[in-house]
Amino acid sequence: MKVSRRSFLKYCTASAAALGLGFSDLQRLEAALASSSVPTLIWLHGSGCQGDSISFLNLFSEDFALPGATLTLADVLITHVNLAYHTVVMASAAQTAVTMANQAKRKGGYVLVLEGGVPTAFDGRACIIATDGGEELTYQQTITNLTGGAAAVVCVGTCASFGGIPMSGPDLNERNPSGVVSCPDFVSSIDPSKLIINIPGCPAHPEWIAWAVVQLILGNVPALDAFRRPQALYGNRTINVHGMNIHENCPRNVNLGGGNSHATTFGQDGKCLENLGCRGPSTYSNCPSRKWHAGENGPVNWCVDCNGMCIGCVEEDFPGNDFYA
Amino acid sequence: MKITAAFDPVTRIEGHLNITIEIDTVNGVRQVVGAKATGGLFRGFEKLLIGRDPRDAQHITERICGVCPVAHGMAAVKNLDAAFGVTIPENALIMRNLVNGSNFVESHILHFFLLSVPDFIEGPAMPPWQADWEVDRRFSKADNDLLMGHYVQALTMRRKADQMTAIFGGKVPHPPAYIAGGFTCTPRQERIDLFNDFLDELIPFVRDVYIPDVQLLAAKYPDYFTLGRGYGNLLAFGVFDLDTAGSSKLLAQGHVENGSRNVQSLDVNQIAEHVTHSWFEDGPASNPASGTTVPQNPKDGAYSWLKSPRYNDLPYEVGPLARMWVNGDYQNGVSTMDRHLARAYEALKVAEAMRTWVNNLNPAGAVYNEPTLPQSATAYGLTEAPRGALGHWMEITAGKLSRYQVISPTTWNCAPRDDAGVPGPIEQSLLGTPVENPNQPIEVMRIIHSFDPCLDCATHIIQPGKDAKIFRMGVC
Repeated sequence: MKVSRRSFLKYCTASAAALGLGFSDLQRLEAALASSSVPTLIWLHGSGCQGDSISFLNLFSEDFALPGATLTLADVLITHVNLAYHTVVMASAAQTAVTMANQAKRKGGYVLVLEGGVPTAFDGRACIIATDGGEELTYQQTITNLTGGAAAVVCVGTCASFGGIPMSGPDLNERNPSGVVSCPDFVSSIDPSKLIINIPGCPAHPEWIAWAVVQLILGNVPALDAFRRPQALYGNRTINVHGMNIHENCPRNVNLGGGNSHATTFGQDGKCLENLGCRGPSTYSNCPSRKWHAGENGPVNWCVDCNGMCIGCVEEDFPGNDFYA
Repeated sequence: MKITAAFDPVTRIEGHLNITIEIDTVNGVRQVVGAKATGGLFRGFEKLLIGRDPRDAQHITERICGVCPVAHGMAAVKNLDAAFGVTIPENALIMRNLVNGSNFVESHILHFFLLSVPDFIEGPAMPPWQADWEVDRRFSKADNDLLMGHYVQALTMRRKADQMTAIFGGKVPHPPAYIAGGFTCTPRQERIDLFNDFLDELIPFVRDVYIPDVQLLAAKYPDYFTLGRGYGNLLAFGVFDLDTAGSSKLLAQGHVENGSRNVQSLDVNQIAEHVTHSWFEDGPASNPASGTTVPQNPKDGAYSWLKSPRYNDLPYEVGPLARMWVNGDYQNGVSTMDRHLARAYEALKVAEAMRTWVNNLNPAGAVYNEPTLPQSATAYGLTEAPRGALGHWMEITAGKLSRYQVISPTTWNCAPRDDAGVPGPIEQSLLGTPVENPNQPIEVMRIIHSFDPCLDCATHIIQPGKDAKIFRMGVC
């Protein structure tokens, strides 16, 4: 099972374009991996569906330098990060599991990965995640305990980044019934200076999550937009409204010509879904170029390519109100 | 002396679940004498949906669960098809089944290798595999290494199964292609060919690796054919419609009592949710079509945020074993190990069926019949998630959703006591389980894992309270 650091570097070299790495980044990555212990991740689940964890399990990148060899999630976990706490995959349980998180906390300098928003109603008791020494811990309390020692906080998925689904609801009397706040709002209230990176998406694309982890190994502070999203993945709409706009970069955009036209009903290949409710015009990410579910033969699909509308899942107001026009 | 064994979180499940375990020595055997199951997360999906366009239900309810989003999409569109009175094209029926089927196989592989096998083997001595529990390991080093190798292989195979889900579904979790009236994706020939290519790899993995590994586990741990039985009441809504009327399914609808081989037909009106031991205002047990959900906490005698669904006033277990039993494919017994075996055999049955389905797609055929949206309607949609029966109930008023109720598989399995004080299925299944080491109750973990709990799905509107003692023991 052992995968060498050299293989990881080869992965990063092969994937450099996708991950936004330059030659000097790769040299620094090599030095970082050679000189220091692997970074520790503490990954907590809050008010969410754990779909970002499942999405991350789909990480794939081919190592072109070694035919047939691939770097998968297993390789990343084994060689490159110390995943101290992640309740979906970790073998240990109960106090043993909590103790692993506590040990990582004592060492400090870990990356705190948050998946899911922070319910604050009922003293945070809408999300109870563990018991430590006989005391129950809410998600809210646990973030409070772990923020101080974290080198950085990565908010994975839209619920963590912006509140997302549990914060939503068009009916003002019914919406956000558990008092969810976004992780950046909550973490900033504890430590306003903490480095926080949002990787929204419902779910987040596995390569976006990997990109963030690599940046932190490098010690990079990525350029973020006004909503703490890395510009490398989500663009910078204040400087260039076209760069990562899904509609502008969609192969179905009617302005591209080539016989492109607007869909009038669902189930039609190649037609722009703008008039049916597609949120591509107000959504920014690299989905049209990266697509989804990469494997040995490339990515297999993405929302628009299956004639499904973009529903704007990376945006700060997701899910908003009615999807269909 | 009665011991309270606190372990929280129990890992390798989806979502936040608390279980209170009492251990005592009875007739010279230390064993579980009490168990209470409590949900740990409240989001309130039913409230979030009120006032939305009914068609949004698919997109919102998929996001109940990152592990079984497809089943929620399926339940929602069946619900909407019924409300809108629309019949879907044959191609749409098939693609819905292919996406759901791929998710079944993915989920079953994930469940066995990533979530369950670590209860039995020794992983690498580093996170996330380092367990620090040294209890009841029976595999030789060779078998241990074999299973660990298959764990790594399973990471790849479940990733590929997710790629299959995305070929027609667009992406997963949360595929966008499910829609009332049919399906958005088209069955282009290159998609059919690609799906077949993946099946060429997936079917042999399930047949030649997954099933033999479960059989190897069963041979080493035969005592788990008697542990974790519970009531033996099994219920299935059925799944994978084989015609657009839904009259024929790959896995049939029905139920049995106490491990009977006499499968009975199902009457959806006999489903009722009890709330005496849940943090809701007391009221008569009611069908989800008319159910109300008024939180009350604290409340004497209540200990769970889940309601307690019952069929004919009885607690029922749902999941692959229930489906395979009702369908007549597997009736060996009800136990921890039978659940693993039935799940593996079901994975092969579904994977092989997908081969037939995908080749029945018509690349030139329609995928969508545009429905007319009613101003008012009531409907329900029944299907199966990988981990058991799933139902969505809804009401449309003035063209918007005015009621939405979900009963997820884990609500059945992790239900608290009912109005008569009868424990829920998992609670019952743990009673009498011998526990070798109360500080490392691996036996309890193994039984809980055999149900494949998914608490993300247990979405009822619930209000957490101040009674901290309830939560001292938990599963996360």
